[in-house]
Amino acid sequence: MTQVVGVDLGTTNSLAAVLEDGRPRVLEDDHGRALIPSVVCFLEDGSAVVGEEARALALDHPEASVFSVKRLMGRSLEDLDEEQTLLPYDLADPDGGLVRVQIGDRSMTPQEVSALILGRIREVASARLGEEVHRMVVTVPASFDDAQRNATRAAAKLAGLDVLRILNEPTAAALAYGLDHDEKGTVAVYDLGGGTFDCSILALEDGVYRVLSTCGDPHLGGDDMDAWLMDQWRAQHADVELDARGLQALRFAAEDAKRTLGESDEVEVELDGRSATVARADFEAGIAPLLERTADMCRRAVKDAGIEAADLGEVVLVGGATRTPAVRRTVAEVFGREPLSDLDPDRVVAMGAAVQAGILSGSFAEMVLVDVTPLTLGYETMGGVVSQIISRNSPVPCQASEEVTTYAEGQTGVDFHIVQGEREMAADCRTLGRLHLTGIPPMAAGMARVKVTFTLDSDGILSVGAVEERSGVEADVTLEPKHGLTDEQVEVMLKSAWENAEDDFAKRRCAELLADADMVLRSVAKHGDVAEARMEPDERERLKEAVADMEEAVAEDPDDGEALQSALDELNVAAQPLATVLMSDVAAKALSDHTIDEAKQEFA
Amino acid sequence: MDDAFERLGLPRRWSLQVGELAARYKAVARKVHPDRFAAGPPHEREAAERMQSLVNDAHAVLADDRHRAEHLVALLGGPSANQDGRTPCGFLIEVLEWNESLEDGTLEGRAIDAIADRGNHELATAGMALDAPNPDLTLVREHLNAAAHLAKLVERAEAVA
Repeated sequence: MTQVVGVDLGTTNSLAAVLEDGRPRVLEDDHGRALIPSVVCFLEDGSAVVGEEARALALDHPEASVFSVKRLMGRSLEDLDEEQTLLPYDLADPDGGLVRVQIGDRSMTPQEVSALILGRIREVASARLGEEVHRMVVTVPASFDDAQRNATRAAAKLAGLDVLRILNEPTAAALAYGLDHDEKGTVAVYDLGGGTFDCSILALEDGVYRVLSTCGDPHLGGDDMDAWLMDQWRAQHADVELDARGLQALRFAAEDAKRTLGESDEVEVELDGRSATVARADFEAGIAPLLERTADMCRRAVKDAGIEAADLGEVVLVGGATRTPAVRRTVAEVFGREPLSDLDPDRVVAMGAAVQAGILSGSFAEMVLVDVTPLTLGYETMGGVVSQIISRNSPVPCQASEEVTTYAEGQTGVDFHIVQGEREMAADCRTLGRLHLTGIPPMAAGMARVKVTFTLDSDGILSVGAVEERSGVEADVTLEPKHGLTDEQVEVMLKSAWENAEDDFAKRRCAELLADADMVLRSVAKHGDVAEARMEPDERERLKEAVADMEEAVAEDPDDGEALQSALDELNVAAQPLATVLMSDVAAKALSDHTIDEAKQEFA
Repeated sequence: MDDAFERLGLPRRWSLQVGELAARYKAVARKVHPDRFAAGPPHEREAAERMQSLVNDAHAVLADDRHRAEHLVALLGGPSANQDGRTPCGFLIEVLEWNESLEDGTLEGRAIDAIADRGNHELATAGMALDAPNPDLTLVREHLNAAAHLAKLVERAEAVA
C-alpha cells in the first residue's frame, strides 16, 4: 500500500504530514517550509501560482489573488453577505446556486481553487516522499455541514486525490495529543482557525477516542480579528477610498499588527503613509464579543458531553489565532485551567490526520476513533416543523428511520425537504436537498407506509432513502443537492480540469478500476465456500454472473474505463450479500474471542 | 426486535459492571469499524459502515440508564408507557408540590437536585426489579413511568432556570 498522507486544508495555511516509524512527521518543501499559504494567484497567461509565491504576488495582483477560499466552500452568495467585504476578489453566482470566484472573465468554483492548493500539497508531498501520492485523509472543521464536506471531497477529486477519510480538525488534534501523551481521561480541544471555530470534548480510554460532543461556528475565526483591525484604520481614514490593492495591503498590515499586539501594548497599522494607532487594551475589548461567542460554545460543548469543566484532564489549543494572549485567557477562564502549550497549534491538525492515515493503513490496529455529527438532521413535516431523525452529537456512522404516511386519497408521491440545524422550523435550518418519492400505487389516505431512512457515514456525509413498504413497489428516489455538486457535475469539472492530460487520467482511472476489480474478485474467490453455503441461490447466481462479466470486461479491453466501471458497479452490488455474511462472522468472532481473561484485563 | 445486549455480547441485565460496556464496545468496534476496512473493496467498506452504525446505536441505548431499562422491558415483552401509564401508589400526590412550585416559578435549585435524585432512585428500583428472577414487569413499568415523569420535571425546571 502506498503512503496515505494527512492533509490540513486550512483557511490561511495548508500542510501535509505522514506517519514515519509510528510518529507523525510534517512534510516540508525544498525551502524547508511546511506551511503553504492557502493563496492562489492567477496570472495573465492563465497559469496559477500557489502558496508563498502567490502571497508575494498578491499586492501586485490583488483582484487575481484568492485568499480564504475555505470560507466559500459549499456556500451560496446569500450565505456570504458579511464575508464579501473582507475579500479583495469578486464573487458571483450566475445561476443563483453555489458561489463562484470571478477573476477577470474567468469564473471558478471554490472547489477548483481548493483543488489547486491540494495539488500543490500533493507536489510537495510526492517530492518529499519520492513517490506519487494519491491517497489522503483530509481535515475539515467539525462544524462543517454536509454541503461543505461534499465540496471538500469534490476539491480532492479535482486534484486527483482519493479521500480515504474526512476527519474533523479538533478530533485530529486530539489524536495527535493522545499519541504524544498516552493518557486516559477527558480532553477539550479549542480550535480557532483562520475562518472557523470548533470546540470538541473527547474521552480517551485505552486506545478508544470517543468524541462526546462538539460545538462550533464555521464562520468565526482569526480573519475576524484582522477585520476588526482593518476597520480601525478605515474609521480613522474614512476619507480614503481603498482599491483592491489598498485593501490587500491593509489586510497584510492588520495581520502583522495582530501578531505585534501579542507582545506590545500598542501598534501602528500603517498603509500608504497613513497610520492608525491601536492599543492592546482596545484590541482586546474589540475582539471580546468574538471570544465570548467561543466561550459560549465551549460551555455548551461541556454541557452536551454530560461533564463539568472540572472533569477535564487537558485543554488542547489549535489554530494560529490561539497565539493571541486574550484567546488563551478566555480558554483558561472558561475551562478553569491553563491550556496545554507543547503542541504547535499550526501543525497539530495535520499531524493528527497522519495518525488517522496510520489507523486506516493498519499501523494502529488497536485504535478506534468514533466521532459525532455536529448538527441535527431531519425533514420538514406539516406546518413547516422539523422532524428530527438524527440528533447532534450522535456518534457516526449511524442510521435512523421514521415512518410516515400519505394524507390525501390516491396520493402517489411524497416529497421530503431534508434539513440540517437545531431550529424547530425548517425555514430556519439549512436545506440539504429534496427527495421525491414517486410511484406509490393509489390507496386511501393514511394507508401508505413510507419509511424514510437517514444514513450518516464515517465522513459525516448524509444519504437519504425512502421506500413505500406496503406496496412493495420500488419507488424512484432522487436526492438533488441544492448546495454542493452532483457526481455528474464533478465528473464534468474533472474532465475539463484534466483536458490536457486526458490520456493520463483515463489510464490512471483504468489502472485503479483494474486494481479494485482484482481486489473484489480475489475476495469473492477466497470466500467461495461461504457463498456456496450461506447465500440465497438467486443471490449466488447474480454474483456468479457479475464475476463472469467482470472477468470478461477485463479480458476484452482493460483500457475501456466505462465498461470496467459498469461491471465493477454491478459486482459490488452483487457481492453485498456475501459481505454481509462475512461481516456478521467478523462480529460473531469478535464476540466469541472474548475470553474470561480478556474480559478481566479489559475491565482492569 | 433488535437486541442491543446481544449486539455487544453483553448479558441481558440492567446493572452494568464498571467499564463493562466500554470494554465490549471497544472489542466489537475494533473488529467492525470502517477504519479497519479503508483499504478493502467497496462492499466491505459499506458493510462495515452498517455494522458500526448498529454498534453505535446499541451503545447509545445501553449507555443511558433509562433507555437500557426501557430496552430490557421491551425485550422481555413488558408493557410500553403508552400501554400502561400507571405510576406507583401515592407517587402523583408526592410530586404534586413540586409541580405546583414549578408552575408558580418558586422551584429552587436545591429542589431540582432533589427531583433528579428521586428520579435516579425510581430508576434504580426499576433496574433492581428487572434484574430479579422472573421480574414483575408491571411493577417495573410503574417505576419507569415515575422516572420519566421526574426527568421531564427536571427538564422543564432547568429550562425555566
